[in-house]
Amino acid sequence: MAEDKVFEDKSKTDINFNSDNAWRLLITKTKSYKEQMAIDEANIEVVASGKSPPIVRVCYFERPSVSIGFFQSVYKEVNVPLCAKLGVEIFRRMTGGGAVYKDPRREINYSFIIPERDERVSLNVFESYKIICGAIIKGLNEEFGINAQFKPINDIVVSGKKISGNAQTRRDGVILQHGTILLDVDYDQMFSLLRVPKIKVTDKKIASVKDRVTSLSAVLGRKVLFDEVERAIIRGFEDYFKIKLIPDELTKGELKRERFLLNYKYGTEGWNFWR
Amino acid sequence: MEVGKFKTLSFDYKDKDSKLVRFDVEAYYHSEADELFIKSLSITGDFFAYPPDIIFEFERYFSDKKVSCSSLDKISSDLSKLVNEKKALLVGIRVDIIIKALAYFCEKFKKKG
Repeated sequence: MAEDKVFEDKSKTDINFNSDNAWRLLITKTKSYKEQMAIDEANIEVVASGKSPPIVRVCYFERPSVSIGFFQSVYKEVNVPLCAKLGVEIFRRMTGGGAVYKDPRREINYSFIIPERDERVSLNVFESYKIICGAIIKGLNEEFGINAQFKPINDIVVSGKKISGNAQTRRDGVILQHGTILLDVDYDQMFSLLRVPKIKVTDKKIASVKDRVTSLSAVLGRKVLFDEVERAIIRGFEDYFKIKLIPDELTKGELKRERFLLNYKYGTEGWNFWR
Repeated sequence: MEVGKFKTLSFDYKDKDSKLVRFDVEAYYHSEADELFIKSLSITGDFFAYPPDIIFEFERYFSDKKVSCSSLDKISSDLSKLVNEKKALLVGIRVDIIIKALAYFCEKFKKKG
């Protein structure tokens, strides 16, 4: 009986989102970033099933964390003992890409989930990165008057320095792209927790890893508020894709699935430390 | 195979698009045959692969695999076939990078004995 009630709640989505141009906007706040990973997968499933329109999600979290790419070796990329000492969580994404320090006080993250056959994106992975990052770039440039640009394959840069990293996976006919926008950077913390390979620095003839990364605060010369960036993300997606984002909440079904995925996948050592 | 002679070696390769591919092999080099007996090859890094399973297919392919150092073309052909069968898209990792890693391991093992 309780099970039925959980899934009945999904009909709410069908009622509220009956236009191709109305997408779901979710603002999710969690303690751990692992929960955000579980929400991503729950959202993929509901979009893949056709029970939800595309989703734009703005993610807030509380615990400092290190995120590693799906194919990375945690022990090669992360200073695991230091993370343990400082209480920094380590989690593995379902997307590829590199390891990043995730500072809840200095960044905003977004997730975007859309069927890959939706003509507003592209079946081509390279092209779809450019398109989806285009929404973020439009929002940042309009909101802050900066000159953010796309840098293939998956970065957004300002004056050549990375301000946003993005990663994508495709599953069950659905694209998930999630990414980070830096409001500020704690360089020392970031690079003490990551084992940045020398080969990545020397090849580009970059004297310091710090020279590769910037933040909105650094670009604008002032403190940047979370609300401003959240507004930029929403504005960017709405203007770029010519859609309306309708504020919504996770359904009971999604929440139930998120709990399951957290307990049996994203919250487990088996997933996070499997290589 | 003399189990005691298996050794581990690592090789990092960074492509021009800035993705890093890291190889860790556990293997034994047979000098007379110029062959590597690979027990396992781990492929990690910040690359992307669609579908992700293709990387595990590569790793499975090399599990307990005998590789002739003088003719890596066959390996290249096998791996390309796997990519085509899976209709895989690789970003930041390519079959030729894996071949480069194998060539590196062959050379290193030859020198080390």
